Amino acid sequence: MKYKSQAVAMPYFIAAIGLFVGQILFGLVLGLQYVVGDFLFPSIPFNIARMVHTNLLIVWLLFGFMGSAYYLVPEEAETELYSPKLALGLFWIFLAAGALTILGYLFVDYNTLASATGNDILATMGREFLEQPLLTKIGIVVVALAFLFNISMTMLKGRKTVINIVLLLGLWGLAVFFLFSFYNPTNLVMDKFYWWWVVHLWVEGVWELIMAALLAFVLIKVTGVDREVIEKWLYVIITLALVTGIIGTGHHYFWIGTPAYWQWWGSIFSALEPIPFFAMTVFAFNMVNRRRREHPNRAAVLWALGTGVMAFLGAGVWGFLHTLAPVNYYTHGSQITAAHGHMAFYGAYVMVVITIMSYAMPILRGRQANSNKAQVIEMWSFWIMTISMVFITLFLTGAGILQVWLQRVSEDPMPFMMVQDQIALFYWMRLWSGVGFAVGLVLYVVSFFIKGKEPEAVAA
Amino acid sequence: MTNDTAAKPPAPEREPNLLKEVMPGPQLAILAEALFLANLMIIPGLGFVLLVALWLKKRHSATPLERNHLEQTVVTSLWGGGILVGVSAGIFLLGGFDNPVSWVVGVLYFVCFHATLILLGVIGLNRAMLGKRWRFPILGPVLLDEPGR
Repeated sequence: MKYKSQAVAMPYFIAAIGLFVGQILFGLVLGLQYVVGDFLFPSIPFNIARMVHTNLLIVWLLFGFMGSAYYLVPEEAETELYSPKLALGLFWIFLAAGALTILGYLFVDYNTLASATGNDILATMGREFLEQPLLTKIGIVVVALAFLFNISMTMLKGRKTVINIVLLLGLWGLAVFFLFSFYNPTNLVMDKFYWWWVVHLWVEGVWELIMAALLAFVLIKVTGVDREVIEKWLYVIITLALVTGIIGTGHHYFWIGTPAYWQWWGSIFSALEPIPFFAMTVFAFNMVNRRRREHPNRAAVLWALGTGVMAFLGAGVWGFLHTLAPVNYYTHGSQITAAHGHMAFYGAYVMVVITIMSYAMPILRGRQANSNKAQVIEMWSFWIMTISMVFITLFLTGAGILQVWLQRVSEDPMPFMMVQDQIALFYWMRLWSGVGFAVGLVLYVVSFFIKGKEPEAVAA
Repeated sequence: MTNDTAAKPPAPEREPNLLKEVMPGPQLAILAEALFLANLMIIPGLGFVLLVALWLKKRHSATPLERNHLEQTVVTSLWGGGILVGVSAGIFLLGGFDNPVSWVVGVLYFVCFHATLILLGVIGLNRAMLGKRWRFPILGPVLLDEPGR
């Protein structure tokens, strides 16, 4: 690695992978609970397992983003990190807070956890994805601000590149929009309205900037294409992402009590939301096709290309599938949403974090790329996880279409739980696809422990 | 007396043509692939009409590379569109609109086939941008120097 302080990224990446494994284990528990309702009840009820599954996802992606920033920002700024000690201190604070929160979910009754952590003073808990206790939320803000101070100071004392600026813009946006998690109006419509300012403006707004910056960084490194060319793509992508994504928030405002004009705004702008993801796919293929050298880390190149394709499919195509108001009238909150959520998170954010880990981890361990054998295992894990996720998405989509029909379209609509019985076959197939995904993840972890001779770069 | 020529600041270097730098391939080929994708994503139907009009107007004057992309996109649009709409219609006509199985199979088929065409279009667009030939797998016409033609 070019700068010694980039090494602080390593513990962040290791923690991210560890928490990713935890997330998938709870995903399997949930998958089983869908078909065997009392599995692990009452030790781990469905609502708790779901909360742990989604919260672990968010926390490990945040670890991934922070690790990526600690690796990327010094190299782009051409200077050492402002304070490596602060970065390491924050790592342990964030890990401890995250672990305590998850243990709290698992071992303390949620009501007791709420009253013990100050929810009576400022009520912020009990909302999907934002279930964290008040103390944890405050901890996240403190850690995020200290982290942003550290990387902003690093950039200010060094070179200001487009990639660094876009990444910081995304990370500052992430912190700013999280502040809306402290705003919890008693009016349920208003609550949901601002709740989406965290959830939507993260994943379909500022996180896209982070994703584009990380992808651009890795593509510069592995293809050798001119920075100027990649930066121009980056400008186009982030413009498209913000123009479509910000007003596209409206697609969450259908049928929840907001004014009807949101059906037009939400439909039109969110119908355009696949475009930045489409641009990212073209971008990734274009850069790899015009590469000037064959980078020895073929696995990182594969993850980068996969990110482009899967983000477009998951976020773009599966998002468009149910984003128009007349369609969403039937599909709102069905398993089609779950299908979109799974593939979009995997394609856009899981894969981009793995892309940069795949690129940076060998360098952090003192080599340009892992051995061929390790890379082959890693590429197997890519294909197994990706194909499994495609099947998870297809089965959930099938379940969702049938659910919509039986519950909302049919002349004799069935109640929710009766419909769940009818779509159990899809849930079983989704569960087995999830097992496949877990196998892929195990292979991914195994690939870190395989030794061998480092491959060499060749000119393309 | 001052030397005017020496006093003049050096002429600024010409700005590079950014579009050409990012897309060195022929514009006609890029336009054909872009219309193929636009037909699938933003302007269904209209994109195809524009693509066919472009093919009719340029097919004799185009270079071999441009003709390659024009031919591939027109033929694949015809076959792809026919299969996409035809099979979807077949699923609903055979299964019935009031049958949930038709909707599960029909929607999944349409989304998967449509997305596949888009991803193949992305590869085609990249090939055009880089000034390289391209053949859509299965649906695209066989290239001149390929075995069997």
